[in-house]
Amino acid sequence: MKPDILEIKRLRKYFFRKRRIARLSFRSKITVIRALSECSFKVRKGETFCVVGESGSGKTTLARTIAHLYEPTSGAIILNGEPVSHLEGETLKSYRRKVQMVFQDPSAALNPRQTIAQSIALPLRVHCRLSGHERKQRVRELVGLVQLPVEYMQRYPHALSGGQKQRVGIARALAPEPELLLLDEPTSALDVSVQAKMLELLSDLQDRLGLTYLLITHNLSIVRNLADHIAVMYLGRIVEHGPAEGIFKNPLHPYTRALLSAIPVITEAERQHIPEEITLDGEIPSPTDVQKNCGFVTRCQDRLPACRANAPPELTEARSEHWVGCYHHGSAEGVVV
Amino acid sequence: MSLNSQLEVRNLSVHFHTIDGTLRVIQGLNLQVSPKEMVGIAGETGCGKSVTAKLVLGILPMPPAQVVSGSILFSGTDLLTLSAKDREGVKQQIAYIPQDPMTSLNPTFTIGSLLLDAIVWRQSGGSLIRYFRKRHTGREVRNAREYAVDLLSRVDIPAPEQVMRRYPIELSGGMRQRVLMATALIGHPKLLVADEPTTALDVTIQKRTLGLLQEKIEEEHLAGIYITHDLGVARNICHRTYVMYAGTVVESGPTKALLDRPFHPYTAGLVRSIPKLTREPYEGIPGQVLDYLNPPEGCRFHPRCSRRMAVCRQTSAPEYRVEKDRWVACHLFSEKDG
Repeated sequence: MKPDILEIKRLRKYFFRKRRIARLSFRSKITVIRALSECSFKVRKGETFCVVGESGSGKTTLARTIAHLYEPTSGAIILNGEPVSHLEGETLKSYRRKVQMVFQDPSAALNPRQTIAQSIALPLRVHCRLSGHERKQRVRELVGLVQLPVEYMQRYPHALSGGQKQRVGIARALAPEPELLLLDEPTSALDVSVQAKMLELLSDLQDRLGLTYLLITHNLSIVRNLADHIAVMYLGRIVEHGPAEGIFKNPLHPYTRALLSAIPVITEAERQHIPEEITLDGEIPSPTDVQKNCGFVTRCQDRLPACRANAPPELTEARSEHWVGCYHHGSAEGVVV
Repeated sequence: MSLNSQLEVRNLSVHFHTIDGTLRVIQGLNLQVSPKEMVGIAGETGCGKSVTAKLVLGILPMPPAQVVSGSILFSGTDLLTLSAKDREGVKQQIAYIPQDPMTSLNPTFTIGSLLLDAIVWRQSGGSLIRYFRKRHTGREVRNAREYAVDLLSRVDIPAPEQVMRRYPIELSGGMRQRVLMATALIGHPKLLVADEPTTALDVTIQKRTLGLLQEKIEEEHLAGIYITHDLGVARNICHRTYVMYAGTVVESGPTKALLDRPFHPYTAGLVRSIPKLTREPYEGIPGQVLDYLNPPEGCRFHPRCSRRMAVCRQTSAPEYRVEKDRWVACHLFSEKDG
């Protein structure tokens, strides 16, 4: 069995918003947005770990917290067996060197006033001690690695198509030779014919460089093709996680089943691979509300009286390595946050 | 084509005049929509699907756009030759659901006042004076309010009375999209143009919204055009689909048959490039999207096509009828034409 590269334990990230209670009042109240609560999982070296969920379920916050763009409210992030928290200065720099991120919108992630070569060279300036000549050599190597023509190096982002810009984003993330790459919806802004080539490139890079991917996406067809492990998020909590095969063949949480049944399939052959149709009604609660019970209870089809009355369920290991947080599968009562 | 079609686009060509030259965007487009039918226009970014929709809605800025040839028949009248005043009257019968529910509702008005404004304006027939008079008459506003509540409940909004008092930011994305659907239903339109209304929504919400849209098409005898780049969504909701590439329709037919057995090399390539749950291998389409300034001679897809022939470089293919209701614009099917 491969060793774990990343482990997160009971990770929480809350955002606090201070607001005046009335327009001219000096008194204010604080609303808490629970973007992540009690998230725990392990990522093995060299695998692709996918995080799926609806928008607002905390997927991006999870990636940003792991990248240390946000300081976690509580909980632990463990990289290669060493706990990392309250990083500063040099230790933060060495952590960032190992964990890099590719952002969702390639047009917004690149500086329009820097050429492609300058954009890719920046992380090299920050993280690696290289001479000017070596750096140029490395940039050229990276541009080749993501299969971009060398003459694009002197161009500005506006002269590139969306797919090409995303390739630059990947090259830049690969510059300091990271071990873990956080991919936040890397293909959602691209057309399908371009997306296919991008996914091909990502699998190819993983094989060649031995990278570990934490892939965030809402496209479950991509997940089916790339993922080794999957975590399903709902309202800032992980409701189910485990091996991809198990989750797709035998989903346990009612939300996962609904999610899989809603995949818009293209061909008739695919229809055999998704559970029977489930249409959810009811509305999603707001993340600012205090969750006294399972967050899915408003939309769940097989809710029990216990689901409404009790605190959010803890994750339990229902099958080997397949964890689920649902009272139907014997979850214990969790902690009220 | 058939007599009972609500909308029929015939041999439409649209050019855009820019500083760099003339962009030949839409080239010989044919399209037909019947009542109670949802027709999909599918294609990638920049294939001309939004241009087609905007032209039907009458919101395409001209210039820079110019219709070079063709006609758009709505209930038998050509929209392109109508006077501005008559066009305004027809516009009332064409409803529109925009793409982004987050930015399409004015954040400074409540849902109720947005709906009331739209309803009263619709009833006052384009006269501003009549609008103001009606908007401040108790009886008129009460009637409009009743109608608004009815519209909201028709699109599955729980507690419509309370939602009327809320602001757009207080609603979720799915609910906002349903409010937009309600505004589209004001005054019994005949044609509904939906421009990717579910791209900003999540799959479970998307599924529910699509189901509702389908129900409304049936109930209100609407003819619907659904613009999308997601073939899975098209399969879910559209009875027939037109696949567009570079301003031309390359293939059309019943959606399920079209996706299960695509004929045109572009459609086949598109279906192949989508990752599938069956885990069959997927590959993209090589080459770049064409430059509208200098479109290639002959078939517009030929530089990227793996099955191109000599004839493809010279002439573009007419639409061949391959099977019942299935049309393909490709030279490969010239002898199969029935």
